[in-house]
Formats: sequence, structure tokens, C-alpha cells
Amino acid sequence: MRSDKASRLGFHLILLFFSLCSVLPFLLMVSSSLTSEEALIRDGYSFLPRSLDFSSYSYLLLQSQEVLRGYGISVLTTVIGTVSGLAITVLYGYALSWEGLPGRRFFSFFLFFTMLFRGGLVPSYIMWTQMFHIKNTLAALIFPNLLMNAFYVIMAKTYFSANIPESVKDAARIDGAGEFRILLRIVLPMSSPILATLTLMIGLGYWNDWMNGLYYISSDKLYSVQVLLNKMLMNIQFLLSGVAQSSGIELSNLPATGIRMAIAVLGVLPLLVAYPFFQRYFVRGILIGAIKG
Amino acid sequence: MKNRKRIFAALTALALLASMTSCSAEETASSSAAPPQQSEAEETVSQAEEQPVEQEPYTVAIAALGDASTEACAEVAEAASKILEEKYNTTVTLIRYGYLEYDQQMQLALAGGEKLDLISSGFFSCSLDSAAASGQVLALNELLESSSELYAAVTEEDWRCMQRGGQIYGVPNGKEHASGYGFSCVTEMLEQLDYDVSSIEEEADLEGLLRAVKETFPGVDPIVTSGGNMGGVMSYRDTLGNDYGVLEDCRTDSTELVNWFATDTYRSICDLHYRWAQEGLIMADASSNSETASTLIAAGTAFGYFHNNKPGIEDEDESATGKEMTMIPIIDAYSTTSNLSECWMIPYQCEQPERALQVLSEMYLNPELGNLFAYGIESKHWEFADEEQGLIDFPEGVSASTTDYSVAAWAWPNELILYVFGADADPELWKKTDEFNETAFQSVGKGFSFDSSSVLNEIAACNNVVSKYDNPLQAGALDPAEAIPKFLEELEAAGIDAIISEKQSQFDEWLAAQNS
Repeated sequence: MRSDKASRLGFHLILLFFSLCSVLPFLLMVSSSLTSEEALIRDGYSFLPRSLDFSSYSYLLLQSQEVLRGYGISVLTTVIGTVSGLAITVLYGYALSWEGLPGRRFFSFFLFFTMLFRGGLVPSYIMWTQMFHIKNTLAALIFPNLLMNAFYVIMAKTYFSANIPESVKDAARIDGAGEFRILLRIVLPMSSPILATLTLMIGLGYWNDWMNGLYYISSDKLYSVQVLLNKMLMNIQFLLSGVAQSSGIELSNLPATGIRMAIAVLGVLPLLVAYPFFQRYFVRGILIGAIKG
Repeated sequence: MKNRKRIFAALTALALLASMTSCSAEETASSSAAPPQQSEAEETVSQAEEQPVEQEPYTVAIAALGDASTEACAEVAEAASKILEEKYNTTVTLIRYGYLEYDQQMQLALAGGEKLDLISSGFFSCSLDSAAASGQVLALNELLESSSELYAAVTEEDWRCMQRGGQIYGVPNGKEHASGYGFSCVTEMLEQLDYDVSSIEEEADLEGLLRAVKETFPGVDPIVTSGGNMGGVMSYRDTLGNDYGVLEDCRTDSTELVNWFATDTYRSICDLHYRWAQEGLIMADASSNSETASTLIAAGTAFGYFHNNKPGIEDEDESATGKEMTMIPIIDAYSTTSNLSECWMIPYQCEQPERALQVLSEMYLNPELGNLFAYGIESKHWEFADEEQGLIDFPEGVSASTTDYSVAAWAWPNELILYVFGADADPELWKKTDEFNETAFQSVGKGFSFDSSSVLNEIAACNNVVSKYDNPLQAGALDPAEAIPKFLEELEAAGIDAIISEKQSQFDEWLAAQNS
């Protein structure tokens, strides 16, 4: 009994350590976004702001159109991308979960192949820009890399074949339902854990993505929040590099530290709000997929 | 049924294989397509010379450094097209990228064969060295013959710095082509101290001043770093491209390349900084500082920092720090190949290189076009502060942080023919820069460029070692008596001797060719 308690204490300490590791930097970020620029450089970062100062946020929300527009772009691509990504993933996964699917082995292999081999950056870039002409369009933020992930399809397939008994579908068939009706009315309502998990994972992918913006967008009208943030960080990184110093380059239009932090806070805010609603399903969706897979 | 499945699988495999091989075939085709274009270019050059007026309409796509909005670029391109259409029947398009993303964007655009006719050099994969080595840009030797004005506008020595393997690959930006070094500090504090700086000639002479700062202004660091970097080595070394195998003092006639980190100069700099750091004259944690020096000065916690010196540097420092700054010169201006790293190049996919060069030549020589590209549209992106003197500034309500066409005159072909930016700037700036270039000491090694392809592994290994020791040593964080011997030992194990001997033999060959 005692050793049980001791080991529990030990585990809790380990978990506490790891959660501190992820919470503390976040706290530092929030706190420095609420500190005035001057105090930030004079006194350095601190976990609790010494004096509250909202100037970074008022600057971002009132004066800078870029950030608001970026927010709009982020929301739009996340919604469109998540809905269409989810639809494709579920359809593919559901079809594969049916044993009698003609060419099932081919489609499985076709899917699996993309997990092992990728075209690489330059060929993908050439394909997307020269065959599909998506450069500087909203599609550039939606299609490349993120729309469909083979791993998610396999997760969906595993969930469907493990949790939806064939007899339920047979019953529906006897009642005269077609395949689509079965999927929409019978299978999907029984699959809320996996749907919630996939929505969160695909949505997270879209919301956090800046690579597509970096490669395929050069028009500032289409910058999402993450692309904006990434650009700022790149400029700062460049300025600190030896290259900039040996050529004596100074950038005078860098956003201040507090503003950088405030953008980062605004960037995670929607996820922070959405996560608690999904969390309950999240654990179940992945767990079931893994154990019975 | 089973048979069919097998055929199916075989077919898929075949299709995949085919798509993979066709991909690589395309790649080789495009890379081998680069050289023949040069002969094509020659033909069209002679045509252009015969009838310069009746040229076919052509669009030159330009890519340049610095942030700018898409609309601002389009506006500038439209205005520039008006000027160029009349003269050459040429229109232009313009795109600008921030400093760090520029190279990546160019890498993709060049690999993807996007339309590009004229590009600025970047700092990494799109530098003159890498672009020329990978065959992404065209050799300009024959083309330049048709553009005698442009050719004459750049000195013979500067053209030599653009050569890689005997061919010229870029047109060097008209800007300062030399660099001095010094200590830049806050004027207000300096005046309060009432310290005579005219006696300061060497870096070590700064000590008295730094001590006075430390005593008078508690809480102010006398010397700070930018991102852990001391900002410049106070010596007359010519690195000849990289740190391995350098001319220790390029003012002497010696052509022997030495290991920089084993020199007395390096040792004495490190010793000095170590002592200063122990005394608290250099900021604590100097080598891991993640702020820029100008941010620290703006916040009032720093006195000064080392960096390069050139005409107009005090105004530049002032705009970066928001405080009046004084530059204490320590190293006189000298010029090496690496002072000419910024240039303009013509990518291999350019269909009519001679037309691109025409535009480049016009950008280089025509102030109207030059100002347009460098500063944007008058009264929108800039306005005259003093028209007679040729001084311009942002219009009312626009600042460096709100403009949608950022100012980086040095990144354009020739800033020396432009207006001077800044209402308080020195109207004689470009004249002084010209003089600066002319009077600067020319290193013996200027024009030499090192072909490192045979020692790439050694260089990568040495870079790892250097990144471990060099910054902390220069920032005074490591005791040179202990660290330098260890540093040298690791460098030797990484193969620095092979690099130096390879570089020395290339350098001797180059010197012999220059003298013959």
C-alpha cells in the first residue's frame, strides 16, 4: 500500500515536471505580451507582469490591419480545409473499412505508399505552381500537404472496422437504406470520438501551418496569422545572424518584443478556447484506434 | 480474380516507377539546358546592337530584397515600365521578399523555372558564390561587351570580384566597397563624460573610456553584443571568403595564408575581451544575448557596440537606435572580395538576357529609374525634404514601420546616383562614399575567390568547431589561455590544414595569373 502511494507520488512529480515544462514558457509569453516594451528590456522577462500594459494588444487590434486580416484568412482556411479534409478522410476510411470493396488492396497500398514516399519540396512546388497554378490563391493555403493525411485515413478506417458491427449496417440495408444513407445516418452518429479527434487534428494542422504560406504566397493580402508571425521571426533571426552584421544591415521597422508575443498569444487563443470541447473525445478517439487497431 | 489483382499491382508499380523516372529526367533536362542558352544569347546580342530601337516587346521580371506589398511593387513596376517602354519597348514586373525568405523563394522559383530575368543576390543559397557554382545564373562576359557604359561604370578591380572560374556572374551594387571598423556609442553619455576620444587609435585605447562609463553610469553595459556577436573584428585581416586560411594583415605584402585562430592578432583580441569581461566592461552573458545591440541602446541599458564604419554610419545608427550616436573609428577602410558580395544577376531561365541587362544598365545609370525602384512613388512612399540638396524622406503619416515599400537603397543596383534618404542626412553622402571607395586600402587578395568544392567536408567540420568557440572567445566568455589551445587542437582534427593548403595553392595560382 505504501509503495503504491510512493510510486503514485513519483509519477505525479514526473508529470508535474513535464506540465511545468510546457506551461511556464506559455506563461512567460502571455506575461511579456502584457508588459510595456521599455520595462521588458530594462528588467527582462518575468513570469508575472510587474505592471499591466495593454499597448501591444491595442496596437495589434486597432492599428494593424494586417493582423486582423491574417486572422480572417486563418479562420477561413481552417474552416474550409477542415471540413473538406474531414469529408475526404471519412469517405476514404469508410470505403476501406468495407471488406468487400473492389480493389481494396490497391487502394490500401495507394494510401500507404504516400506515407513512405514523398515527392520532396521542389517537385511538389513545380507541380502545384505549374500544373495547378495555385500560387497566390487561397487554394495554396488549403491543398498542399494538409488536405489529406494517410495516417488519419488509417485511423478512421481502423475505427470504423473495429466499432461499427457489420450487422448494424446489414440491418439498415434490410430496411432499404443505400450506402450513403447508412454512412450519414448510422455510421457517423456512432463515430463521434473519431470525428472529433480528426477535426481537431486536421484543424490544428491548418491553424498552425505557415509552410504553405511561405512557399506559395507572396501577396501580403493572403498572409495568415502564422505566416505573419513567421515572417517577423525570420526578420529578427536574420538581423541577429552574422551575415546581417558583417554587411551592416539594420532594419528599423521591426515590431517590438511585446508585439511579437501578443501576436503569438492571439495565434494560440482560438485553440485554447476550442480544445476543452474536444478533449474528451480526443483521448477516446486515439485510444480506441490504437488498442483495437 | 487473383490474376487480375496481380496485374493491377504490377501496373501500379510500373506507373509509379514511370512517374518517378520522368521526374528525374525532367530535372536533368532542365539543368543541362543552361549552357546552350549562352550561345543563343550571343546571337541575340549582335541583333540588338544593330537595331536598338525596334525591339520586340519584352517583359523583364525583377526580384529584389526587402519587404514590400504586392500593390506597391505593381505600382513601381508600372511607373518603371513607362520609362523603359519608350526607350527599349520593355516592360517590367517586380517582386520583393524579406531578407531571410528571399533565398528560399529564389531557390524555389529558380528550380521551378518561373519567369525571372533579373535578380538581386541574397545572402545564403542565392549568393553570388552559390548561384554561380550551381549554374543558376548566366555568365555575363559576352553580354557586357554590348553594354559598354555599364562596363565602364564599375572598376576593373570590382569586376574581378564578380568572377568565378574566370567568368563574370554579377554586376556589383554601386555602394561602399570597403569597410572600416569602429566603436559606436551614445553621444549624450559621451558628452557627459567629457572624455577626449581623439587619442583613441587602437581597440585597447578604449579601456579608459569604458571604465569611465562603468563608474559614471551604473546599470549601463559599456559594450554589448548583437545576438551574441561582437559585431566586427578589429583587425586588417582579409578572410578571402572564409575564416580558414586568411591574410593576417592585408596591408603588408605577405601572401602567406595562416590559420586565423592561431594568429597573435586573434589571441590579443581574445585576451583583451576576456579581461574586459572579467572587469564587467562587456555585458554579462554577452555570447548568449538574444537582443540586438540597437534594441539595448534604445532601452538605455547600453553604451556602445562594435561594427563597421563607412560614410553616413552615424545617421544609420541613429535611425536604428533612436539616439544620437558617435562613431569612434579604430580600423581604417580596406577593401576585400567580401566587401563586394551584393550584386545583380541574370538567372539561367531568362529568355532574352540582353534585354535584362539593358534594364539593369538603365537601373544602374538612370537616376530617375533608380530612385523609382529604390524609394518607390514620389509623394506616396517618399517626398522631398530638400529638393535642391537631393534629400528625401517619408511623407507625412508614413514611417519605416508603416510604409508598404521598405527602403533599402543598398540592395538596388546603384545607390550612388540616387537621392539621399533622411531629412537630416548628409547631402554629400554619396560623394563621400565615392571618395571612401577610392581612398580605401585595397587588399592584395581582392578579386580572389576560393573554390571550396574539394574541401567541403573539412569546412563543414571546421564550421562546427568555430561555432563552438569563436563567439564565446570574442565575447570574453572563455579564458583564451585554456580555450584557444583546445580550439586549435579541434580545428586541426577537423582538417583545417587541408583547407589552408588548398586555398594557398589556389591563391598562389591566382596571384601568378594576376602578375603575368
